[in-house]
Amino acid sequence: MGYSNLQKKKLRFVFFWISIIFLLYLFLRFIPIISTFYLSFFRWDLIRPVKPFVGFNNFIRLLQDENFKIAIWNTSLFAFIVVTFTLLFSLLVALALERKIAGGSVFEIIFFLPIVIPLVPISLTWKWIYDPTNGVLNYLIGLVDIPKQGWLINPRLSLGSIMAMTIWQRIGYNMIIFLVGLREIPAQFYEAAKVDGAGKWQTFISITLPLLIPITLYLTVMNTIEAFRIFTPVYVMTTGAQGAPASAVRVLVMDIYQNAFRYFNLGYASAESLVLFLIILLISLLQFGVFRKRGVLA
Amino acid sequence: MKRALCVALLTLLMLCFGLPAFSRGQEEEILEKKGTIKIWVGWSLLMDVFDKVEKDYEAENPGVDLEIAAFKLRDFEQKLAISIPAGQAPDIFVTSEYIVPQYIETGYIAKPPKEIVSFVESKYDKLVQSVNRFKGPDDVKPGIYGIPHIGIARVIYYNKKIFRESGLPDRAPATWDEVFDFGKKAARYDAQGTLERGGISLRLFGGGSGIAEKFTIKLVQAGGTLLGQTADGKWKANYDNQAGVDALSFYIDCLHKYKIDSFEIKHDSDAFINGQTAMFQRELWPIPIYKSKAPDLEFGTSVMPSSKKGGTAYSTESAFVPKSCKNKTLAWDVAKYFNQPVYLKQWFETQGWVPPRIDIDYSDIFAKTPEYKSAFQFPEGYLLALYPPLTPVDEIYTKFAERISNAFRDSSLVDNPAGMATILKKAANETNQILKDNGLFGEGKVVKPTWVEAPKDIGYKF
Amino acid sequence: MISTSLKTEGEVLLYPPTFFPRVITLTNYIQIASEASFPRYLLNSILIVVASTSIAVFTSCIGGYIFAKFRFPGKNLIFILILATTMIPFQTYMVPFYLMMKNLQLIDTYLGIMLPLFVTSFGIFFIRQNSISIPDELIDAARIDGGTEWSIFLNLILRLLTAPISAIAIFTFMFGWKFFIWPLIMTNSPKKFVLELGLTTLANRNAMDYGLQMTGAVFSIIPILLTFFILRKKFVSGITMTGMKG
Repeated sequence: MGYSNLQKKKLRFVFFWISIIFLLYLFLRFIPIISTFYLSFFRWDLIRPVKPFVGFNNFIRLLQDENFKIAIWNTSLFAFIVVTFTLLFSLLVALALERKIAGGSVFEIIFFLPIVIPLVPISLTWKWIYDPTNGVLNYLIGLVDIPKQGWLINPRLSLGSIMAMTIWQRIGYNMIIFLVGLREIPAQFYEAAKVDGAGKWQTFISITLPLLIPITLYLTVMNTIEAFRIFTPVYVMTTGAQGAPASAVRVLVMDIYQNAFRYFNLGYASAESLVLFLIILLISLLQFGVFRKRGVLA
Repeated sequence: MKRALCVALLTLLMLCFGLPAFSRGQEEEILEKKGTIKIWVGWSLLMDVFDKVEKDYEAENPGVDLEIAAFKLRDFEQKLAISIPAGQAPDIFVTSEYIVPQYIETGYIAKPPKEIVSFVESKYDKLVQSVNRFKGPDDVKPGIYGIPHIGIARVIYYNKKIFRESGLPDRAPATWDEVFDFGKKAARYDAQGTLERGGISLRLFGGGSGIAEKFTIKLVQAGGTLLGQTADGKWKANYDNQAGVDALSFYIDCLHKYKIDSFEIKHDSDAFINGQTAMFQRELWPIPIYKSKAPDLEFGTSVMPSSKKGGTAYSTESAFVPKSCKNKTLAWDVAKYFNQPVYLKQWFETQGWVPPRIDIDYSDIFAKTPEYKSAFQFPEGYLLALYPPLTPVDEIYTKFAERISNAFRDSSLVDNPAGMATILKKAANETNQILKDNGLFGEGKVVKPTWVEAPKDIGYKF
Repeated sequence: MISTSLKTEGEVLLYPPTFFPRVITLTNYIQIASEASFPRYLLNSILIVVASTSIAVFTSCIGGYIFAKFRFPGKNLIFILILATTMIPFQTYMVPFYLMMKNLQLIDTYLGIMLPLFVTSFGIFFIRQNSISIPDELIDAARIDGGTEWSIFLNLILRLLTAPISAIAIFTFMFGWKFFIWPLIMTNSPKKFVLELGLTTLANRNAMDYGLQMTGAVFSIIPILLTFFILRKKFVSGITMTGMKG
């Protein structure tokens, strides 16, 4: 049996628009990305005209590269801590706010502004907050007699300072998504729990938490990808004479950027990008796998 | 459908990568004052005068449109690196000798006409001429490629008021021991013992090669340089030695032994303008800013304090014309135009950038702003550390900077020359590896450090 | 940041610092706004961002809707590929893309600056999430009424999606507005500078004038804040829909 008229119309519509989207993606994303991966097999210097094929040489060098190892470690640590605390804090805030606020505009502005304001001005403002002499933070801790700290300058603190800023910036969005999830849990479930005589904590463990798992998965994957791609705050905060020490906050994209645009070793940077891509892919798949194994995803 | 897709894909690929480069325009010999000349500058501070240049030149030559754009230094380097090999370079760009060698070596930069070469050779000081010689792909020996625009020597600044209050003489320290001594007297601590006002502000952190550049200043005073040439004309790290240990210990002593600088305070020019440090080292550009923004700031400048030797770091900015420029004669005309005394003196007076010309009388500027003088009145035997004219120099400096700034934080290095030597040895291995990767590494001893002796008389009229 | 931008030059450099300006001054704002090239930069930005945002919103809508409501061969593969591109930062494939632009002679053109903003994976994903909940019956009813697929999309779907569309519009607008690195690489003539690029240079020309630099930063986020406040209600309800039906 051939396609019905309706189905033909549907297919034509789908084929036409999907081809356009696909071609746009092909041209704007797939080809450049694939060429980047292709470059990773060459000693591809941005400036020098001779660009010899080197096989897996770039990848072998990566394994011995201290900067790369530091970057992997810093980025993983960054992602782990930022994702964990962002989710934890935003869930707590969401629980606290669950039924109290109906959506006043003050509330909206407080939680939405960090999402809306781009990272560059946010980072600039935080650089000022963290400023050793003029910064608000040192002023505040000075009030309770804690000595001044070089938040961005001290290598033991700088990565943590950037983490704190990132967590602050992400809480708003994550909290809202959690809040939506909480509100979608049917009231009957809670009533049933009450009838069964479950305590608040028990209700939370056996009803709220399991029902939030799909949302948590979505947020975990999204936040992890974002965290692994961290670049702007690090870039802004390490630039200039008042900036953070580069090695203490070296993250993967920063390292890629430096290899590509400071040292112009594009082939090498491409190899690094490929590794970054594989890491993110692996972690996302793993996260999906873990959640699926627990049987919470249909 | 699959086949159609494959064909589309292939066509796209060909479109993207297969198109041959467009043929370059014929070289024009006659000066035709028509068209657009694009100029890129890596120091936005130069723009105030460039705006005037643009207005004046366009008024005198109605057929010519000057498009002058300034970028942040790092953005600028990146933009050059992407656009020059792609044939999208501007007609003129102004940059330092640590950026340009890679473009000259690979043949992207045009040789100036004879007239420009003789202009440079007759009107510029010897120092800048020796710094600005490069070897292109067809050259037998290094030659002039650009018109030097400014010469930059680093000096030490000191806050006269702090010095007076601390019972110090009205002069900068002359030796390292005096730096420590003056610094200790000028430093102030709060109740918890945290440094509030530094004795000297060193460049300790922040991304990039700036740390290495400032370190070079101490290194040359200790008798070393970051790189040196071996007998075969190749290159090698020249800091894994006593000089390197001495230079590093200068930082370590300031930070951990005498505690006259710390990681917890504001640094550099910003700290100096606020009276948060008694001394710091920098180029001359903060001088006019201090004079206009902080008229109450009493400060002096001086040549650098010395240890084994006296010396500082020296670099230049020059104007270059790439081969991709369509109308080179016009480009050189514009380059010569903005190198006229009337503009150069403005750059000097209002921005603190010193054009290295010996035919211009700067005495009125020096009289008005004596702080400029110290940068060029070199004592006997004063050494100027130069950027080696090598392609990977920025990578070497940046990577070295990172290692050295990690070492700065290590208080166990106080009076521990062996520990410092180990760190420097590791850094030198990295430096030499980068040189090897670029085919520049030379075996054997360093016979020629990258410094020149400063001319006793640079030729300026003070 | 806003506080610093309102300070006088002298006060910015005061030590110890003041948290709020003693005297509020608009000099910095006037200085930036009176810069001869400022209107030009602003216009360039608006032109580029508005045009590319419109296109991105459209591609997100049509793509997201199709991925949510139609079945066709290769659907999952294409969708996963599209999502996978979000894992790779733009900076890493910028140079190959630049070389493509060069071969197409698009360097230093408005189109070239806008192109990378024409599609957004997050947008497609976001609209897909939001379209899933549109009842199939509604669409089928429209088909029975004789609507073509295109007119259903235009008249029914887009109307149902106004909230998520506002959210996507703000996100893309915001992203485009602060998209710095690509315009930096692509633009060769100051006439085509976007605001962000122009402001950086301007701020740089006044080394150590932090008040002016902060003003520049404030200036560059004003349009985003304006858009946010105008579309706030829609935006908020749009965002709150994302987490659903994961």
